[in-house]
Amino acid sequence: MFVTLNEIVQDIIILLSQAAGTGTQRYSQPRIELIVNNLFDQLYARQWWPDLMEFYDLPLDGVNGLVVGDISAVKRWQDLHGVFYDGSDKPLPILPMTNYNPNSVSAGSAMYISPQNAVADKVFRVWSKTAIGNVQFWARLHPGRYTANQTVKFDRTALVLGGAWAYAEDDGSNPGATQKFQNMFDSRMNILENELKDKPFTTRPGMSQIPSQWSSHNA
Amino acid sequence: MRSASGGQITRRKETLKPTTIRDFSGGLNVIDSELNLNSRFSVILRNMFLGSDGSLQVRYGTEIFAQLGNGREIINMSYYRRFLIAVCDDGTIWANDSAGNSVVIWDDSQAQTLPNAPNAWGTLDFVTFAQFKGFLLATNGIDKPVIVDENLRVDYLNDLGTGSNVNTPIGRLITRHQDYVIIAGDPLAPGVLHISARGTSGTYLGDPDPNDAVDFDLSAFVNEGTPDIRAISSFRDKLTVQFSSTTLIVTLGTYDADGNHTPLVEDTIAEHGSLGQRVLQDLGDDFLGADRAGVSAISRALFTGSIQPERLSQLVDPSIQRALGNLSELALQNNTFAIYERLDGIYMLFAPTDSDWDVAWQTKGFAFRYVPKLKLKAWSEFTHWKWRCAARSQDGRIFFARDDKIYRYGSSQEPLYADYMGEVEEFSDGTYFTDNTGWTPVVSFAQSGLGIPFTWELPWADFDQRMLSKMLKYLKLDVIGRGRFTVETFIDNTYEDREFTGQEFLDDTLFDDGFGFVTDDPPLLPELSMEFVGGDALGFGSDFGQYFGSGRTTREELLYAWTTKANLVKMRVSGRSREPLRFVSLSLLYQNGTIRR
Repeated sequence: MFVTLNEIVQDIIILLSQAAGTGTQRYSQPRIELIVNNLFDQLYARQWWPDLMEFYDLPLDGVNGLVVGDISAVKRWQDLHGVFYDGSDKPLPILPMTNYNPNSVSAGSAMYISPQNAVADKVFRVWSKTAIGNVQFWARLHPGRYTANQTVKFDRTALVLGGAWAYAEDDGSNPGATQKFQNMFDSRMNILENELKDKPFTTRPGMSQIPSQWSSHNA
Repeated sequence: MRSASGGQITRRKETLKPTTIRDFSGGLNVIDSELNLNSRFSVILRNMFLGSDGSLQVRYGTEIFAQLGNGREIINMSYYRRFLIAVCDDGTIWANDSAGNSVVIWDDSQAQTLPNAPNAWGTLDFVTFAQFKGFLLATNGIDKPVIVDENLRVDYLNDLGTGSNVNTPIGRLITRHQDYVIIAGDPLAPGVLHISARGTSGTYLGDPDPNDAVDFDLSAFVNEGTPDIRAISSFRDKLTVQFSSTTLIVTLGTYDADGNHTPLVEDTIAEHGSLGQRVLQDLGDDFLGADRAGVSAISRALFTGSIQPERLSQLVDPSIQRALGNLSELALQNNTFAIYERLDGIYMLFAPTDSDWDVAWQTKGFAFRYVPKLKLKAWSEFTHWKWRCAARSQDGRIFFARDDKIYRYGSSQEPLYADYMGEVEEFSDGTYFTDNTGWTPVVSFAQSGLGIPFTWELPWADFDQRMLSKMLKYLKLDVIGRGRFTVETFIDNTYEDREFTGQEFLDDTLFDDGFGFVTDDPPLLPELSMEFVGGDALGFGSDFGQYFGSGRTTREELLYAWTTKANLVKMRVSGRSREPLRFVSLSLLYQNGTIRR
């Protein structure tokens, strides 16, 4: 279950034996909020967390190799999991930047993807730029900096333990407690990452349906 | 896969250090550099005093006790036989009983019932009192002295043998010593003591025998300053006579072979004088007074029995001298006064902020918690009052007066936690007028009164590591009471807002040169600031209508983050309280850093 940033911060405050209550800790609360946001940024990029993933199916503009539609929630090139051209099970590879002239790509055919910075809120470009049709892709979405009342789409326990460890480390008090927070945070992250593997998955992606009747072809 | 944190076990050690301040016994100290001061001293201690338990306590407030209703100004008052006898500036004398009922006992109509139908006193600006053989004596330096008996009948002080007061001297000062009444401050003979006949109050030089009254000229004994007597008072078996910067110790009751009373000047104490009669207070073992240099005590040496002076106000002398420096000689004599609060052992000296009484916006008070046996000697300031005089009752209650009103000062037995209770109220936002007056009438006594503004500021602290930076981490206070207050931390000599260009006009504009008015209270620039509430405050819901939420209560043993980095740290506590409030200790948790700021 996901909770707001303020609830995570209050949990950390209680763990650190500080007086709890929204607005009570004038000087540690903003710092803990920053710690939690920074921690989220670190952990966000660590796995393809399902709760942060989104699927897109968008047409290409046929001119610049850009998709038509709003993908502003995809913040970084690294957040693209894989881009598929219409109907294909094979993801488009990354355009080589050495020994290959991008203009060599056959016009109208979608062969590669590359990062792009010319147009805001579009993190990739399909080569050749004149390809038309749709592309499908999974992307990891970053919500931006969380504010107090926003729901944080990450495991509460991991953020609380990691935040407590990060704050306690700077306090210089009770080294055992700081180590404890660190150990518990590591343990929690191991659990979360192991859970990702604990789902059935296909070993042969792209395999079509098992045929249930014969058909013939003209030679 | 690496662990999320990197997985390494780091060698850690405890680096958080605690420091607690719980010794406040130094009191106010404005003379030493605050970069060198010990934390037991305060650089600002306003409307607080050192409690008997060692805590710093917000001073008590006042409540309206009596109102004469004559629209005049009470000049001075004295406690006499369960009454407060108050003398007004129109010369009338009023008696106030324990219920606050006031009745005039001396005016023209009363005076004209006396033989020869004299007039009562006229307008005056100074009165002193003495008690002798169960009678109250009063004198004003303009009219003949009067005497009040146990039935509150007032008469002119006269020779009992003749019924005449023709030889009764006119003087500003009157006191009793052993079996004599002494009048001084005679405008025609300012250096002379008029000593009554032994055992009488109204028989003076020139009255018929039996009469051993004598006039004793002391002007020859004064080497410095004017030889005008400023104050006279009895201390143990000696009569002290104070001039502006000299004190004479006089022994009465010695007679020559012809039976003439021959007072002896036993000692001369230079550089210790008095502002006037009304600043003297007898504490029993010590006798406190004040001159332009500060407050001093006279006490008797243990073995030799000689009188020795001691300066008590060295730590606050600059502040006292600044308060007195702007006052005229007349204002010093007439309008400065002191009272000794016996229950808490506090000597309070008051001086108006201007020689013109109507212009003065307050009488600045210097409170000296003085209990020598417990080694308590701590100064503080009492402000936001404007009193004309004070009196102490037989059971130690203190009463102040201003205009035609008398107020009772709270005490540990009968505490009051706001000023002018029963008379004025604050506005609904908790503020009041800038001249320290409030809204009238009051709806309820409990809700009335003005909060007492207080400030406590510690000197700069370096935690014994001047060159190292410090990382403050947590703050903890032990506070008894229910009042709210603000704690601030200043760092690294940053105190005032140096970009402050002066106070703006009401429309927030400045003068054409870009500057504003000079102010005595420029804005401060604290690094950290947080509001707390005393440890006895009730929680949310219990105070509904007064506070929303319980606030940061100091009884909370959990931590309050207090984070900054500094080489020098100054703590300041301030607020305006209508609730009891006592500061027991202040603690910080911090880490030592490096030399790199």
